[in-house]
Amino acid sequence: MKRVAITGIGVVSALGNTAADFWKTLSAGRSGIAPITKLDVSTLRFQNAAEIKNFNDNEHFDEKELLWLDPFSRFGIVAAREAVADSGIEFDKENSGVITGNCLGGKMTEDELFYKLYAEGKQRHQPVAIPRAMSNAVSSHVSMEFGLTGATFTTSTACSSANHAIGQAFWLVRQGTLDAAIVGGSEAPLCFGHLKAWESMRVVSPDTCRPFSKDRSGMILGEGAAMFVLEDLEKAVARGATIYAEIVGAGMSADAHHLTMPLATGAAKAMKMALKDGNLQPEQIGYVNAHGTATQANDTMETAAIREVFGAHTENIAVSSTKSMHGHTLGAAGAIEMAATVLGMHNNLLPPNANFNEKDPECDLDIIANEARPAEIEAAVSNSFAFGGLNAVLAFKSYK
Amino acid sequence: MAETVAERVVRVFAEFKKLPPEEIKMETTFEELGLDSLDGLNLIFELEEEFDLTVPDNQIQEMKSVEQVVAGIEALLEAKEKGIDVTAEAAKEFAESQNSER
Repeated sequence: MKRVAITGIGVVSALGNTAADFWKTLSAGRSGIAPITKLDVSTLRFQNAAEIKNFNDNEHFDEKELLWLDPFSRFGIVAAREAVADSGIEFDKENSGVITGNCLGGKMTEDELFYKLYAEGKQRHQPVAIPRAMSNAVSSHVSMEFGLTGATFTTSTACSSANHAIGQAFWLVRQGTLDAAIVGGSEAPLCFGHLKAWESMRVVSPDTCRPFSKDRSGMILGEGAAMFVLEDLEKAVARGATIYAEIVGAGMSADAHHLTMPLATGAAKAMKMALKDGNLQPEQIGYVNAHGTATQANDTMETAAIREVFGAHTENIAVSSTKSMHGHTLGAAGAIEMAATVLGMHNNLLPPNANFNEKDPECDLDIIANEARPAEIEAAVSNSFAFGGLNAVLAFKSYK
Repeated sequence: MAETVAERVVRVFAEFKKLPPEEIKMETTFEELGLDSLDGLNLIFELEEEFDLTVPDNQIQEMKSVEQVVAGIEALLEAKEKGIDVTAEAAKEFAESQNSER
């Protein structure tokens, strides 16, 4: 079994369009949540989201390429390019792959097509909608760009998509099936038809995302992508690569309970399995990047699950949900939160939980309220729990 | 004679649960009908369709029994009659409550 290093990071998010800008904004505790500007949402019951700003498509792609790319692919490809450049890796192309998470596919492409079809009655459409909208578009484009021909695919498990993808890729590198992998997730959910569907679910906050705070009022959607290079740690050391952290464990479980009501035992099981897979004792964990959606149901459930896994050691674990700043990016959530976790470990500075106003007795965790916390930790976990009761947790160790 | 609001609410409940209307009493709760939160949202959606109105998010929590639903719908119908946009009012109220806490 090989050890697996994280040697490259790329991020496109409401907090910045590079990993460096993302970290700067995140560690300063500044939220990227603001009024939606991409489309008119004046008739919706919520107005805010974590939108990507100043992303210039033409800086990254020519017109012909753009024709084939839904925004979720644009974000994913740009993040993948940054991760690869950051890593400096020369791929063994036969034995490297691209494994990504995505929940919605090209919703923006479909929304536009359906509007033209149903509302405007247009019968002729550009022939690119199908390949633009497929969930695996990012994996395919990135594999073509870097010529990687090893195992390449996309997982779609709602809000756990990226963690399932990264966990699976980690296992493939650890067992030697892949020499290296580009992994992560991307999502572009901000189109009217999809926002309307969220409105009817009544879980989106009318103002902002306050995970674990007593006055929390629901989730806030975000768009974005984060990508990483995972590779054999020995080879990374041999070539003198920067190792941000070691990914050591993945745990996956199903609640087998309810489509939208999460179950603490399912979440706890995934955390326990990630620890076991990573050969970690609960006492080694110093930070949990929580799923922390800021819905009533998730945050109390997740608190109970963390307490079940860590027992008395819970008091020594710092917890934050960075969704308070980059929003809930659905299929990209696990990836963006892995960037937050790993950059935090690398910089000895744990990212904060913004918008935290008041302790909730039902969420009695050591929340990193509003300001980043300097700390050198040995290991961390990052949680993702999806609608449908599908859970995926990643475990990391600091590499110094 | 036209159906009262209460009769219409009972009819929607009965159709939703596929029960005879006489089994739906004013004091019947969502819990007694075996409705979880998602079922409850679906039922509220059926009521919104029946009465052609929108129930604001913050009023959902106050609708846990047939009686509470009837009261809520009657208030919303009255607001609609007067031309008050309850969704906008609720958003304004929420924004004010948030500001006053800062």
